[in-house]
Amino acid sequence: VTRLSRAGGRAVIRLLPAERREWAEAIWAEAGQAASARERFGWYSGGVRTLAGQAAMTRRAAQSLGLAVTAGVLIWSAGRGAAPGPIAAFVWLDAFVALAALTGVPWLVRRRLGPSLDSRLTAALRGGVCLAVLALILAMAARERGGYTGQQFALLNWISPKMWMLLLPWLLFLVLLVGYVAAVFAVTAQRSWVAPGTLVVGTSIGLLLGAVMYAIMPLGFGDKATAPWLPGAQIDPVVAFAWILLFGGPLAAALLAGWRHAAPGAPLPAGEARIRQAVAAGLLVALVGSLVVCVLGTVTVAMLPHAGWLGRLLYSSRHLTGTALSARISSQPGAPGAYLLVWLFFPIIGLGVASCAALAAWSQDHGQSGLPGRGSGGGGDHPGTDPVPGSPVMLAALCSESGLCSESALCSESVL
Amino acid sequence: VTRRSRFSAQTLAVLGVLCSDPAQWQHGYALARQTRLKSGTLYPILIRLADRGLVEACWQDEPEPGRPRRHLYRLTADGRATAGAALAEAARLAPAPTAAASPRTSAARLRAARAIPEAGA
Repeated sequence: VTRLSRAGGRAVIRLLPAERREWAEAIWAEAGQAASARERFGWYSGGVRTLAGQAAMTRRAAQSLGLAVTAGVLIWSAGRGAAPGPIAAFVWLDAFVALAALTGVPWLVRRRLGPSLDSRLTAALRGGVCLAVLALILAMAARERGGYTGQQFALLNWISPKMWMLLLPWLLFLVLLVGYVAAVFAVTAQRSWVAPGTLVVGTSIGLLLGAVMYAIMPLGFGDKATAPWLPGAQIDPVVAFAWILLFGGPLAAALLAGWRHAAPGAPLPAGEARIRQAVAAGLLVALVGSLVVCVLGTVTVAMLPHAGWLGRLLYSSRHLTGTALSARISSQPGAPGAYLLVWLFFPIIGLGVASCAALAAWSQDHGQSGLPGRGSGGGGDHPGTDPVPGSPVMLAALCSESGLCSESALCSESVL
Repeated sequence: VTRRSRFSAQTLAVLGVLCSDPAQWQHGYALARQTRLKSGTLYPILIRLADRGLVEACWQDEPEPGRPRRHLYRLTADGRATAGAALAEAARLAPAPTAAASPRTSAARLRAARAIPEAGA
């Protein structure tokens, strides 16, 4: 294994830019100091990760390329087969706003709150919201070209009052879209006060909420579950579970995030810090749940007319064509506005429930000092209470040793 | 948004070890042992510090027989000033112990803090 690691390392070194090869050789030269084969393997593994990270110096270039591809896809989608008129204008507006959200929001958040946290969950959340926006806009463009919205618009023109009845919710949707992207990027930034553990709790419960909601709309047709994996089951228990999750999810996330947030590190009273984490967790549940159900639902409906296999897979007992299924889902009472309601009200519900729960649970603790904050957990996904390299305790000791701080002795004593 | 140092806790740990003997060249393995950081965490930090001109690096003049030359590191003058200020600020911001801290946690922290001078000795 060691020989393989060494050979792999040499191969990686050759792939690196010239200015980074020296560092790669430095890491490999130190591996011989490791006392055991296991430690040596760990050293090589870390070296490979470092070099991979350095190779990802081109990360920005890759991000720029991804953005260019996204822009190209959006523009292609907006311009594809769109006749001049309200629909084309709406599709172009969607594409423009999505592109602005995916470029401007990350730039603004980086300036205000710093770069992204270095964790897989953070990368998944940020990447997920970008992909979600792209999928949502493409699916909406496909739906508008294919069908029911177009029929509505065909009877309208720009000066029709009914046009504005459709335009205002649309604009609201776009504003919320930018808000969703901003919220996800903000809570995953390095200088955000949302702890990594809160992100884990909020995202997990949010995914569950989104999946259950997706089973109801569009998969459930509103009254019966017809998917093969829910054969003949009444939808009512799923609906009941969804309602419980809608309110209970943010509640549970808020209590869990606040309860587990006990790591020291920031100048905030314990109660206030717990309340903040709880509210953030509840909001995150609602945001993630809403994103999942809206994106999956819209994409499913948009794909139905074009993918017969999807209709057979999801609605095996209906024996309808994809177009008919799509039209039927869209013509359900309240269907056109259902996703907008989810988009709008889920975050409000999440925020409200979590705020009430947090205030009820920890409003009495305002005077206590607990001092939570990100960074005390060593940058992982779970805030811990064990000492980590570079913790204030260790820093105080280092400070004392190096004689850099005249009050270092006091620092060490007060911390310990 | 809470007030935080512009260096991560891990970076401050590296700066702290380099500050313990600023004139001495140190190699990566020793730094990893003293800071308890893995190579995958330590070297990106060293690379960033070197890119910012806070750390200087050189190759060992006379390698041990049968061993490759080692890369050595120490703080630059700018790095010493920056590290001193950052560590002093970090020590000043270090919070007092909470009443809820468990004895096990406190003991672990005590051991961790004591381990630093021992490892560096």
